[in-house]
Amino acid sequence: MKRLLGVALGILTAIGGFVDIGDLVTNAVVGSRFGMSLAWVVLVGVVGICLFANMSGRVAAVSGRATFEVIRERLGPRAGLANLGASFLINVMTVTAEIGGIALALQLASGVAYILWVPFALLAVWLVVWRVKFSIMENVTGLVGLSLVVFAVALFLLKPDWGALAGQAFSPSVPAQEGAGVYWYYAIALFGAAMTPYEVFFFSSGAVEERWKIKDLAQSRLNVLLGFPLGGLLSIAIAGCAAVVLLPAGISVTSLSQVALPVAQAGGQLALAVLILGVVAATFGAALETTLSSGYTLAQFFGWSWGKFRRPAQAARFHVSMIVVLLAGVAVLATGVDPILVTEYSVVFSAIALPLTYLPILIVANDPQYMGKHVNNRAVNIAGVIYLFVILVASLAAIPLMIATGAGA
Amino acid sequence: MSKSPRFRNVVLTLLVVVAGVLAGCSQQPSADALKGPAEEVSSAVRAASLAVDLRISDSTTAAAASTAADDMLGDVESATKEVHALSAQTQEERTLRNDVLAAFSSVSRALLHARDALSSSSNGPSDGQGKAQLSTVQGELRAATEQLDSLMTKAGIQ
Amino acid sequence: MSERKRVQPRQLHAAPSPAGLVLDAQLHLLDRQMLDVDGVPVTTVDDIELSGPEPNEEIPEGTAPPQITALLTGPVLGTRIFGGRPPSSRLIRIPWKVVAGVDTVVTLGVRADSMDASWVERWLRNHVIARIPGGSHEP
Repeated sequence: MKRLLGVALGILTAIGGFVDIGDLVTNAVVGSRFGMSLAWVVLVGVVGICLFANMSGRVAAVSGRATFEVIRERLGPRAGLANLGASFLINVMTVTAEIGGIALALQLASGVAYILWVPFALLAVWLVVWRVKFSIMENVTGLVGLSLVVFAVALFLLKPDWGALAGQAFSPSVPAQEGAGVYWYYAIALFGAAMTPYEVFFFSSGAVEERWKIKDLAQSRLNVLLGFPLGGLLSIAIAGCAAVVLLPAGISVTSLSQVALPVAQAGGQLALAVLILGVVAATFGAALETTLSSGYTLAQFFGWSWGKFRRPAQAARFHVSMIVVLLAGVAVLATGVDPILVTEYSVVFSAIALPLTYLPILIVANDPQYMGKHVNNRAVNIAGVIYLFVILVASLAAIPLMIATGAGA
Repeated sequence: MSKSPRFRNVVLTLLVVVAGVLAGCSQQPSADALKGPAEEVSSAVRAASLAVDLRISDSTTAAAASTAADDMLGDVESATKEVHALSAQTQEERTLRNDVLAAFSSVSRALLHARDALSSSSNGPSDGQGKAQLSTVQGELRAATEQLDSLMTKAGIQ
Repeated sequence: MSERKRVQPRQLHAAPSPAGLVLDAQLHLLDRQMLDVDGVPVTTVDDIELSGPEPNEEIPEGTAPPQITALLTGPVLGTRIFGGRPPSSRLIRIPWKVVAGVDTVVTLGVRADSMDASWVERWLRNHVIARIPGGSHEP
């Protein structure tokens, strides 16, 4: 019974933890402009994140080494440092976006300007990073984040023309009022949002934090293979709500308050309250994950002691670097830059940096010195190489498309 | 690996180019250049209209609805700035630009009223006076939408 | 570059056949994580110090083969990335004799706190983390 509960808890937190501000905003923007015609990208992204999260979890459980230690060992200091720079920059951007997301959700709840909520969000995130146990942190934010299921409920309450939605999803085409360039630009943004690299750093470091062993692999595989696809379904529901209400009304999403409109229309104030709770939990959880990820990457590259299972005093550099990252994120928000804009750029830059994260994982998962007999099997390797190709194409196409479309304008 | 410096260069170039694009190369107020800002404002006013509707039917809270109106006001402001940055050459272009700006400012005014009415509607729409106020701003928003729409059709922006 | 012609020994002896584990310094030492005797991460192997002749020095016959004298860490990492040579006073050395084992990590036989390599960690612990309430509590 206890074991079953553990399995259920793992899956539920994986669902709740899948969606962050990037998924929320990107899916709503895409739904309001392209209907369901980009739903296939979420599917492609979910399969990819399942594949690589599983691989990095296995590397961590078998070798006891988190992703970034291995990246430096395999790529050497020069390429490793470049990789660290890019990953760290994107992590800081994502921390900024998530803290902005918490503040925006609290504005939605209170009517008080989001900028006033930013210091509060910063303090709350730091306190959890500083004091709360890893497993409690993961489970609480994941479970509360599950209230984002309200998007799926809202979609049913809106009684859409399911046939038309499925038609858009299964025979995708570029809508008449949008250009093909913009369509592909958002396809890449959506892909980047689903495959965010910080999740892999976090997942593999989390496996070390929770001292996974080889026997825990079955459970982790179940969490990933059930939790992430269901999280992906939730992403599609977000796009669906926007496609049903906002697209026909001629509204294209530029703010979080617009994302809430379809849910309020479907379920009234109760649904709105659940939505706000879910958004706060999801962005809060993701803010924790990205803050920790930036600490993990730095500490693992330079060989510092790290981890929430240690007292902060036993991991001083790790904790100091996370404080600096949080302050940097808040300094960016203090300039008054729109958090939604930061989010939109962060998902595209994530897509650009994807090969840097995923190639080393694929290499190490094939290295018998680390993996013993748990190296990748042939099917996983074939899938991994195919995905690496997709990732590379998306990464190379992102910048030209960004320039050509004026960042999706 | 030779990839890392190249990656860095690409990112730097990209940032410069994006900054250039965002800074806006001085364009003329043709239908093409006005399309972006006009669509932004049209989307904003419709979103605010939906928020007021939801508030009237008590489906949303005063805080969420007034936040939406406030966000939309920000969008209209940035679109207005964008149009101001266009430099008109001919008389025709100048007229078009001024018409668009006039439509934007009536949207902006309607949004301001909507935001105020929404944030003071915290007693709930059951309050008769609040409801009347919300219907008034809804009318104002609709009128501003129509003004913008007819202008967009006339100028061939769509 | 030195203009001198490289001196080749007249007769080359075959390399002695090693007994035990063969390590490739590049592959098995450089950039590896170092853990102290309690399993606490200390730093990474940023470079390696060897005994023996300086570069371009003539090597007389019968010289003892070079040995690893220390693992290096700290600013020396910068010279591996950007080139150059650090002054030897700036090197943080971990003497080879404290190394207890080499696997996918390098284990040391001493505590991290007793080593020069962890001075930044100790400084931040004493001056920053210890001053924030809750810094030394179990999470």
